[in-house]
Amino acid sequence: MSRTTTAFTIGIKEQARNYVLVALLVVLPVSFITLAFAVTQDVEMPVRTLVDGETVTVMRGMPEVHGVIMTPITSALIAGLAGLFLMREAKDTDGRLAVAGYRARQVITARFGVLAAITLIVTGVSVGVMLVDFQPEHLWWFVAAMLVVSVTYGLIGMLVGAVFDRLAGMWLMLILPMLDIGLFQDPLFIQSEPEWWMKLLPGYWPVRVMVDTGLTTDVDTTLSLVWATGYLLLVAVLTIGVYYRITQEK
Amino acid sequence: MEASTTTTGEATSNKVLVRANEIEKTYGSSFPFTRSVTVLTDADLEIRRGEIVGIVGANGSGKSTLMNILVGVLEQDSGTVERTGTVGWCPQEPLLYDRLTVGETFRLFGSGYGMTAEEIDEAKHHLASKLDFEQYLDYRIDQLSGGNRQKINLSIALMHDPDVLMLDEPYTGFDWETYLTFWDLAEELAADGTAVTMISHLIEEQSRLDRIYEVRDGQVYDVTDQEGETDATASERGEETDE
Repeated sequence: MSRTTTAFTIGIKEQARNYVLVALLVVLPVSFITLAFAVTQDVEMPVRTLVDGETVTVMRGMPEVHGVIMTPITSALIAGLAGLFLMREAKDTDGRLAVAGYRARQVITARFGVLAAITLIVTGVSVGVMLVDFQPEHLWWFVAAMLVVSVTYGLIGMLVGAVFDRLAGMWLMLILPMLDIGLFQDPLFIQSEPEWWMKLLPGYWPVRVMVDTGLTTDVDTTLSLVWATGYLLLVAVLTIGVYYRITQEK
Repeated sequence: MEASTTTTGEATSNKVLVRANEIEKTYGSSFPFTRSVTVLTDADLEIRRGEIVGIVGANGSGKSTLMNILVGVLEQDSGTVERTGTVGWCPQEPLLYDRLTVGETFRLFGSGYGMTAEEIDEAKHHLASKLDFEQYLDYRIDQLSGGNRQKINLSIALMHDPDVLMLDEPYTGFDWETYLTFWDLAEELAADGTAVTMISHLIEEQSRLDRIYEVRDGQVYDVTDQEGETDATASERGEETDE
């Protein structure tokens, strides 16, 4: 078994024993997503989105809009915390792996593989719970945007873990997705053109895709998904650089 | 002088395995109104095959900084470090993954050392028997006592039979029997040609050391042949020194 495979399989075992993460995975989707559908008043709301390339306002049921927003919040929040835990635990000890002979790229591949696996599970569970109450118009586009926003937040969690301690990092990663996706990108709150700085947040492009492909019959946000993927790649490069810096053998 | 670190292959003859020249290290801060701390200014040192070398010094003198630079987990600001052969490192605080079992920890690090599954298994059982932690092989690291964690910390450094062993106060938390076993192990390894280097605080250990380096004022002094005791050992007993 190669070093990368060993580090990956053992890393998965280690995360599976992280009971905080497992509890979040069990509790959060049901309490956030299912409750969002259950308790939201069933009235029609105006939603700004793209239809045939034009930004228009359409009327949609508030539970559906709320559900569409709570699903990526849940996934981003858990993935972000997973990234944070991963970085905090690896920050000191992965340096010892380097002394033991692991190359930086082997450790990075294993750690990012663990994060990718967690994100896949988190996204799958979140979408699965959502599907009980709501079917997006274009499921796979919706899932693609979910994956992009979840991985992006997972990586942001790693970056936060490289700079802040566990407690400060947890607060940040609890608040950040809530503010970004749940406030600044939520069509229930933002009913006009978003401010320029809201477009710089990690949730902007993916949520555009989710609102469009979840609530309208046409797919008008292909370019937004490309931008969201570009944003993800940028964060990934930054995270790899930071991770390499703090774990490499000198 | 530029900072550089080189590691070369097998250690085959009776020679210097680690050589550090003119090492300088200052801990800076990127925050304003905070001061930087200079730890090492012009540190030179050699570690030879088959020696047990002690690094002593007062608290905060830079012993762990020096060892971390020699191991390669900390980058010096300037100066050169040359290492020959494989290195085993036992850090002062056990750097282990809390949620892995002892067996998984051996597998993870053994894979890094390039050992086969059989070699890892053999090393695990040999060290578990020697340091008396056989009954804990299936325990998670976070379920172990401090002393047992330290045994695993030390074992991970030893398991691949390294050419150079760097130990930062390796016996912290050991009971007396384990402490004596540790010294037997260190002497066996040195007899087999391993260069054993350890940060030591205990005066009575100094008779077991082939060479003693004292870290003082940012520099490293060879105090092996000095009569009496070093400034560091005196200051650790609370006596005044003429430093």
